[in-house]
Amino acid sequence: MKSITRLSVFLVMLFAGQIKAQYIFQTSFVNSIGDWAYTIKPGSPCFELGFRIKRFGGGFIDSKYSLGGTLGYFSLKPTQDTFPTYATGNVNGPMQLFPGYEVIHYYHALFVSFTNDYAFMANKRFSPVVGLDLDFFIISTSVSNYAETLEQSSSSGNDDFSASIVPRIGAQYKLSDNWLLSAGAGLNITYASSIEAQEYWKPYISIMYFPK
Amino acid sequence: MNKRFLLITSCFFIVTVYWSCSKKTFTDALPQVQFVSVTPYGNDSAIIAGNVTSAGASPVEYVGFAFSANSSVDLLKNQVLLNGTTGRFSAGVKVYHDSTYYFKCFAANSFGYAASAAFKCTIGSAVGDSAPCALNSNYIVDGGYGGYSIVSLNTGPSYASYGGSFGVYVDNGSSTESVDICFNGSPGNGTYNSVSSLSFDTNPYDCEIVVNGSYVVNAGGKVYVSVKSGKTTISFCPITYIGTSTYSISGKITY
Repeated sequence: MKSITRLSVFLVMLFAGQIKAQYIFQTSFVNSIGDWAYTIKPGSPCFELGFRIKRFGGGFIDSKYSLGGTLGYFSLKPTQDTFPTYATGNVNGPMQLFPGYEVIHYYHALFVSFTNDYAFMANKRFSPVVGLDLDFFIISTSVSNYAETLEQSSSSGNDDFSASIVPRIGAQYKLSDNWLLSAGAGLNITYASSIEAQEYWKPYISIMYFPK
Repeated sequence: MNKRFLLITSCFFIVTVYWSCSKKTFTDALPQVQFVSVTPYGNDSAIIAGNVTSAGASPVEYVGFAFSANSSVDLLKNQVLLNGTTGRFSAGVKVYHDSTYYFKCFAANSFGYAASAAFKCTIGSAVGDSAPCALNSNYIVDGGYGGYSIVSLNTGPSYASYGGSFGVYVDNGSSTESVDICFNGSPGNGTYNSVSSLSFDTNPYDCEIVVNGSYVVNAGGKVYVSVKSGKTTISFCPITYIGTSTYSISGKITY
């Protein structure tokens, strides 16, 4: 968790240095899919706070293409308190299966997302949007493992790292010259990780403020 | 338009969140197993069988059994571990006859393991069995040759010429007609099934029968074994083999 704390302080200082920032607040739900869905509950809330730090092609809120960055956090819950796992080995005899269990105490993720968005009709009030984000995670977990005779271990506060790309599709609606509402869904695709790959998709809704 | 967009966005969000919350459970990922049966075998063993009814979310890596005289079966006690499979699996275990045991089977995949409910069984003695037809003792009726009295009868590991570990060889004295029955071990009370080959077959209730050193009896034939007062009687009727045509063969052998 020390790594998460240091990263948080660094990023807040970095983003706070933006004078003419466009602010984004986004909420979404992390919905585990694939094999991950058997161990991680879907529907965990995720919160992101970010900035548009560049824009191209047009006026301020009417930018067709924009880059941005967000800092996000979510905490996941396991589907059950205890998972029946096992180990195999031969302790003074034939190979045997040793029943055991695993407990996931917590799973916290802090991430930085570098966002890319393209609005097809940015000068209109309503526009479909596609995006592609690059996310970097610091994941903190606490897990206990036990197998009769063979294993009893517990790990806590381990920091693991993961990187993903997140293709997104959605739409935006210009509420006013200063406010932009956006909604859509993105799919997290892990391409590098020191922990089990995170498989999820997330529907999101975000509100952006463009100060004059 | 403002209200419509907000309505559409809200509906989209609610629907996707609701749909995403159709949860999988960890139990869905685990295999499912069912304990099937206990069959007494010989004087001190039983054949126990289980069935994998579902592999779960990944291939089954291990299956096995455990049993105990107590209803709370510890999976580490008297455990038999086998390679993973789907469907039916079985193993032979040493048990006391006329005793009560509780059996469980289990299966494991990459997610974890699951075990069946405990199956209570009082092991009876294996019952001797005999073919359901009238047969003369130590006499073979071969549809491709005719009937003949057994003149030469030999048993033991060296007569398991076609597989297994125990053979019963009989002929008519001139070796022109013979029957060689190969078992996975010395046969005890019970009904055995003929198979086309005992290679890689460890089922103690399978046997391979070869007629005249050339013709393998068709699979699925029944061979009945009764052990009483130190004598073993093997009987069969009719089982078939394919020579120039399909022939039936019956017989009763006592040693």
